[in-house]
Amino acid sequence: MKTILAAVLLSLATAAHSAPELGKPAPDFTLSDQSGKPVKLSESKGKLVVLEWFNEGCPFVQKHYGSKNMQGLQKRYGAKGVVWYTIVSSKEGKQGHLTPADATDRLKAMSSKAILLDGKGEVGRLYGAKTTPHMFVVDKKGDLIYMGGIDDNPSADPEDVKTAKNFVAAALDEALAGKPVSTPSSRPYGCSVKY
Amino acid sequence: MRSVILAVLLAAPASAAHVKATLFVSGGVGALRLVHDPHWHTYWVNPGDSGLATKLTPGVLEFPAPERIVAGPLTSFGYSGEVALPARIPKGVKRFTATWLECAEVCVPGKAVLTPRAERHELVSEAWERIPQMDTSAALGASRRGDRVILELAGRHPLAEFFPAAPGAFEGARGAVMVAPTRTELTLTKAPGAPDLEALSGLLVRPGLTPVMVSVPIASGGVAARNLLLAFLGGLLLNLMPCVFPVLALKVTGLLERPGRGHALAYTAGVVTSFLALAGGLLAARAAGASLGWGFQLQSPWVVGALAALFVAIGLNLLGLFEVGTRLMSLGARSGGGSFSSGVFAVVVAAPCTAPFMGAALGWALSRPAWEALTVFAALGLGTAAPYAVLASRPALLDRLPRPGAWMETLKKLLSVPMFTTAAWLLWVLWHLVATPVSVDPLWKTWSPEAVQEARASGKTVFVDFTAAWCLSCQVNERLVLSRPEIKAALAKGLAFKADWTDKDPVIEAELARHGRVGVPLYIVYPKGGEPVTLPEILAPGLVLETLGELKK
Repeated sequence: MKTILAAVLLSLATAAHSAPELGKPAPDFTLSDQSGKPVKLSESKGKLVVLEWFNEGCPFVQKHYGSKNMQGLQKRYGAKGVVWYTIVSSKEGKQGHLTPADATDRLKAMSSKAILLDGKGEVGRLYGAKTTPHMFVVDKKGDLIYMGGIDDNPSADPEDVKTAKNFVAAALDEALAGKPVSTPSSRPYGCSVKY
Repeated sequence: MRSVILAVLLAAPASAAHVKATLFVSGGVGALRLVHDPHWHTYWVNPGDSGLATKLTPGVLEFPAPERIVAGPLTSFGYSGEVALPARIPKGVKRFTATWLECAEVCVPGKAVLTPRAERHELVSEAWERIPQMDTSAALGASRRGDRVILELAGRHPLAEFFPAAPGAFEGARGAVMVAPTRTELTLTKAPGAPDLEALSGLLVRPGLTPVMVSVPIASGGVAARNLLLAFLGGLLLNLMPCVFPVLALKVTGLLERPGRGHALAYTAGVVTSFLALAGGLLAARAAGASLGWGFQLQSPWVVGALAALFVAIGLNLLGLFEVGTRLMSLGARSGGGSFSSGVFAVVVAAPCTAPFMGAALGWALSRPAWEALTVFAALGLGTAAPYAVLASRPALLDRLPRPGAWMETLKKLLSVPMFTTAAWLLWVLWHLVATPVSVDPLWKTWSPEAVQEARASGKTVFVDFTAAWCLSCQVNERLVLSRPEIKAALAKGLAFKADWTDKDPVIEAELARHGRVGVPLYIVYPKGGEPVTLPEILAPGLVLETLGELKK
């Protein structure tokens, strides 16, 4: 009974406080990466962190990976000391779910620091991740400075990547230059996260 | 293996074969007909939490009323089966491109190059007839409450749904619905990071009525003022509640003997101070993590016992059997301290009487920043103190009341009756607190979140009664409404649960909080397969039956 109670209270607590807020500390979490190593968000304090929700079967994700847009961003900002985590919240048996072995394999084609496995969807729900991709940027103090879509063109057409305004790149450039983020939020677009 | 991944990541999207698109034209206008395979859907102009609206180039599409598509914590707005989207198309164009996103569990972008077909004229005209029209009388207004926006509708529409037009502005899930006798409140939750909108526009769907577009400004500052007014009115109403009326009656009797403006001030100060103290204490306790709700003081058997004894004492006092008390009271009254302490006393007994309006207002208040909460409680206190204060400070009004005389002794004796009644009620509460209450009626099952979830999963309509023995409104509703044969019969078709909050219970407390309440009564109906509907704190039989789906409007 006590555990049920705790679970209920916990779920209520997350339901009530889950909505991440801009300018407030990003909700902390611990997830296993592709090699089974636990990764805690707050351990990256002092660095900029990008959280990218990923589902390899989603056409919108494929738009940004097929055009090398996402890998390019991972590489460019990784070189500037930005920690980039690719998070998979697809439930086991649903589209995009990755086992640690799958994730190890997929990471080879990416430039993310790690793929974090969230098969229970807890961190996805904690952040209110709705779509793949859904992007979050955390500043050096650990505060949330960007949340939303990757760019301003909600299409599945890889051709649109060239002409779209990339909100994540803009937020990272501004944060790296010590400036406030001019577009701190946008509408995330893509496939629904497969909780 | 690596090549496999790249192949997966670079693969062209699977061909869209689950939705068939055809463009029909008639009389210079068109309609894009989409036929979906079972389980597949496409999206409304605002796709909701995820998805993408269907587009036609060249041309502009209109969108009939969508349905909510729920997948776990995410809700999208779209169409399944067959739909015809009205299309405004330029003249003379022979080739159109329709693009859409089709999703079942997975999503695939769809695209079709279409040549308009001049057939199915009735399909085109019917599609155009179904374009939702603006209705300026359906919505009364909208107001902001923190990260929520409340849309107020005219009339009772427990099953109403609202689809906001602005993509990304609100969460897709159908929010809580609260029905009152003449209006309905729909709650929308702002999407994280979304800007505050000045106006709320969207599509309103009410079962049995034609879907309409509504657009209303969102009031921001007015909300606090409205809640202050509600708190003040709630305070006024408290005076008529059995728990406060005797105290007020006693005070007025005293006033007839010794009128004075000082009493008004002292009494008001007493009432307001104690409301502020109670609210402050409650806020502090909640900040410290304690699980306390409004009326919590009556959850302690000691407090209830002491109050019962006090009321018996006052009753005896009024009967003239207890002279010492009277002397003490008149002593206090002369110094003004008596009025202050009776103000305090009024609040202590008034608090559990959650008058209509008050439950919602107090729940809202306690979830707000401290200064805002305290302002609301101060307004409540002023409302409670107002009738007495007005009488005391306007001797002219007092002159209209009969002069003191022998009749007052009779009145005092009469007033002892409500005192003893209150004492009896408190003893009954005490009995409930001490003895374990036994659920006599098999209709009512004991509430737990899991039981409700299970019942909803089994496709039954679920009714939940959050109640407490010390809550008078709850008892009135249970005696006068919920125990009616027709309502019991309607409840028996689904499942009825009782959540008894007579004793402190953190699970019930948490559930109340989830619905923005800190006190009982709270009545929730979970319609078959639908989202929960909150009923008003004073129940009307017709409304209950209507919400249970027994009565059609």
